[in-house]
Amino acid sequence: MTKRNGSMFDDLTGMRIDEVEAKFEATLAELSKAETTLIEQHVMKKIHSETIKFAVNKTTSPPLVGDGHADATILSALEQKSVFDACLRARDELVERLAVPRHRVAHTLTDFYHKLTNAAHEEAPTLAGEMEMFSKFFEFQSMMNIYNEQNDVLHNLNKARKRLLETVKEVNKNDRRLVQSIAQTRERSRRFRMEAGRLRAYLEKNSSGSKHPVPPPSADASERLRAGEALTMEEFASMLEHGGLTDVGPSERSKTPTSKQVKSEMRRTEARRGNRRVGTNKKE
Amino acid sequence: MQGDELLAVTPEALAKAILERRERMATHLPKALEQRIEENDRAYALSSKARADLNTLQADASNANQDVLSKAKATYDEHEAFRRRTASRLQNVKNKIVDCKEALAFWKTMNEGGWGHLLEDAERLNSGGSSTYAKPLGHLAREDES
Repeated sequence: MTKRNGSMFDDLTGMRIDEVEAKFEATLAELSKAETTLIEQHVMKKIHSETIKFAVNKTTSPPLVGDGHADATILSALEQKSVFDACLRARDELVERLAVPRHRVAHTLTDFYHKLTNAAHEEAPTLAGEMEMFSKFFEFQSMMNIYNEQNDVLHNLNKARKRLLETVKEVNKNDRRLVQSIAQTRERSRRFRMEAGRLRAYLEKNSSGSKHPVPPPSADASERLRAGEALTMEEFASMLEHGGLTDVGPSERSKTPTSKQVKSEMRRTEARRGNRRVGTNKKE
Repeated sequence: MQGDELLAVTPEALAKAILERRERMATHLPKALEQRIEENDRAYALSSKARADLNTLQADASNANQDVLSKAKATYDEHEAFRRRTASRLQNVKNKIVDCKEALAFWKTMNEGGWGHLLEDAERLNSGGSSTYAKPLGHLAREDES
């Protein structure tokens, strides 16, 4: 035990207490910095996830990007999504207006022209049929012209979709990088916390308890403990140091039913084995 | 005619093409009518003869051989079916002649100016409206609202 303590504080043995204290303060500052970074990274990760969901239409509302978290890729993705939505609306309006797909228009146009001008007299349309086809021919001709004029609507939509997907890929890539970065920060934070704990333990051991005394627990903390409320780490430490945890009466504990009691009640309902009842007929 | 060529077709050009086809038809139809009349006459004669033979055999039922009688009936049925087909074809040609005359008059009138309601749908589309195929959806939506 002594050997392990010696090896644990090996690097601190030659140092003065005020130097160790300074090191302790510096470690605490680093820890605080790492924790702040971690929170920022988590906020950023949430924004990434919401951006991807919004871009692929899994959510309808865009993420709220604050000034501190304004990333160029995120902003670009949001802008491209709005462009894509506008292109989609334009395409839907066109489709709703014409209702007949382009290839169908082209096919029917050719078919009607042939029937009106080249059909043999056995299969020639009647005058009513000719009038109908004549009217439809020029309607389809207008549709085809509109499709040709609005060709850029579909082209723009495809372009906007491609651009958006590329940007979403980029956001996803950044997100994966961020996950790695979060893991690293978490590891760094864990190391700082361990180091701070070690330094604190060393200081408590070597400063004869005068520099970092643990204050005795307040009456309020004992009351809250009896009421079953949560304690802070400081209060818990002071109770460990000065006593107080054992003051909680056994009567308090007996008031609340434990899982063992519940279990024993349940056992009572189990079938009793080994007491076979003999029938009255046999006895007689 | 394909693709862009069809987009350059004007109503006048199409009406002219229809008129030309109708005129070609008009030259062929009298010949077809003659053929159909001749065919129908032949079918009528065959059917009449078969009917007369069958009636004779049926009148002399006591001496008639059953096989000869059924054969005469089959022949009559066949000739009568042929006569009906030819009558239908003849009527068809007659209808076409009438329709052709009406169509020639109609397209000549149209080609002289004024397309009436024939270009109404195309004009509506060109002025930013919806196609006739999109209309029912609008009607459905309005029906749903009401």
